[in-house]
Amino acid sequence: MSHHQNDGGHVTPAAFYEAFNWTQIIQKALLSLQEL
Amino acid sequence: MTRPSVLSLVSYRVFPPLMGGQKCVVDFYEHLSPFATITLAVAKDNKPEPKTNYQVEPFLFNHWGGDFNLIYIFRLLKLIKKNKVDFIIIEHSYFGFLGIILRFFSKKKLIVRMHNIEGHRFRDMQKPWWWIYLQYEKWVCKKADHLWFTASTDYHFAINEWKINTTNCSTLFYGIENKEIPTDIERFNCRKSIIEKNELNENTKLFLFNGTLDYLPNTDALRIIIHELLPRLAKRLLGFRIIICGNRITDEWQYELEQYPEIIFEGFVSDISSYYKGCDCFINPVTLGSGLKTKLVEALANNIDIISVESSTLAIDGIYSEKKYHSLKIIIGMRLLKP
Repeated sequence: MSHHQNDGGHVTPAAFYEAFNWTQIIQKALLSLQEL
Repeated sequence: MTRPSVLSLVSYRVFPPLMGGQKCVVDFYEHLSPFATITLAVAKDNKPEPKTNYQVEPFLFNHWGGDFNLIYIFRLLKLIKKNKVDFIIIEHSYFGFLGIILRFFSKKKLIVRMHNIEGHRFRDMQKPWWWIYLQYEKWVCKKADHLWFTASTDYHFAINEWKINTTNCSTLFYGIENKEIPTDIERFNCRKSIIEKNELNENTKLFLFNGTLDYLPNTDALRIIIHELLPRLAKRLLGFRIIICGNRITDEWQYELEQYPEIIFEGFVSDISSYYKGCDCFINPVTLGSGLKTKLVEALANNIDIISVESSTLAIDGIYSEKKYHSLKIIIGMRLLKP
C-alpha cells in the first residue's frame, strides 16, 4: 500500500508520521529551550 | 521548567497562512502555544486571525525594509519586559541583527529558526549580493545561542562549513496534521471530485504541482513543467492533465498556463490535501532554493507518488538517515528523461 519504499529498504508510514508529528517537534523545541 | 515566554520576530506575511512556508511558521506557534506564552511580532502587512492563541503584533517593516525596524527596538524591548520574555526567536536569518541587538539590551537567549540557508537561495536566484548575505547569515548563526534547522542538510552545512558547535544546533522539521495514510475510499472520492469538476475521462492520469507561484523557484518550476515535462509527457502518455494549484500567480503566467489544454490551473485551493489524495502523482521540478520542501512532506503524508528532481529530496533523505530509518527514496525521474 505505502509507496514510502525503495529497492534499498522501506520507511513505514508509522515511522514517517512519527518523524513529522507536531507533538514530537514541539517536545524537541521545549527540550532545547530548557537546555539553554 | 516553568512555562517559557517567547518573543518571535517574523519578517514577512504569514497571516493568513496559505502556503507551506507560512504554515510552517504559524502552525509551529499554534502547536507551541499550549506550552509557552507567545508574542509574535510580525511584518505589518499581516492580517492576524482573531482566534490565535497568542499575541500577534503586526508592526514591523518586512525584510526588504529590515533596517528601519531599528526604530522599533524600544517597542520590542517593552514587549520583552511586559510579557516577561525568556527567549527571542527569529524566523529566518533576515532579522538576526535585530535579535542580536535585542539580546544585548535584554540579556535574553536568542534562537534563530533557519528555514533555508538564505544565502544559497539568493545565489540560486542570481542575486549578485548573495555572498555578502551568506557572510551576514554565518555571522548571525555564530552569534545565536541556538539554531533550529528545518532541513537536516542545512544543519550539516552549518556544522561542517561554518563550524557551528553541534550543541548549538538542532533540527526541528515541518509538522503535519495527518496521522495515517488516506484510505482508498478517501482517495477514490477525491479523485472523482476532480474528474467530475473538470469533466475529464475517468482514466485520465492526474499530475499535481503546488506552490506560491510568484516565488522564483516555483515560477522556474512552471517553466520546467511547460517547456521540459509537458512535451515529453505528451509524446509518451495519452490522457493526462497537470493540475497546478497555488496563489499569487502573475497575469502573464496565468495566461501562459491557459494556452496548454493539458494544464488545469486551479489557483489557490483551500483544501490542498484533497488534491494530494485525488491525483496520481505529485511532480516537483523545483531546482532552486534550499531547505525542506514542505510540499514534498505534505505529498508524502498523503501517500501520493512523487517524481522529483534529486536536489529537492536531499533534506528528506537526510532526515531518514539521521533517524536511522532506511533511506526514503522518492522516484528521481526527471533527470532520466531523454529529449
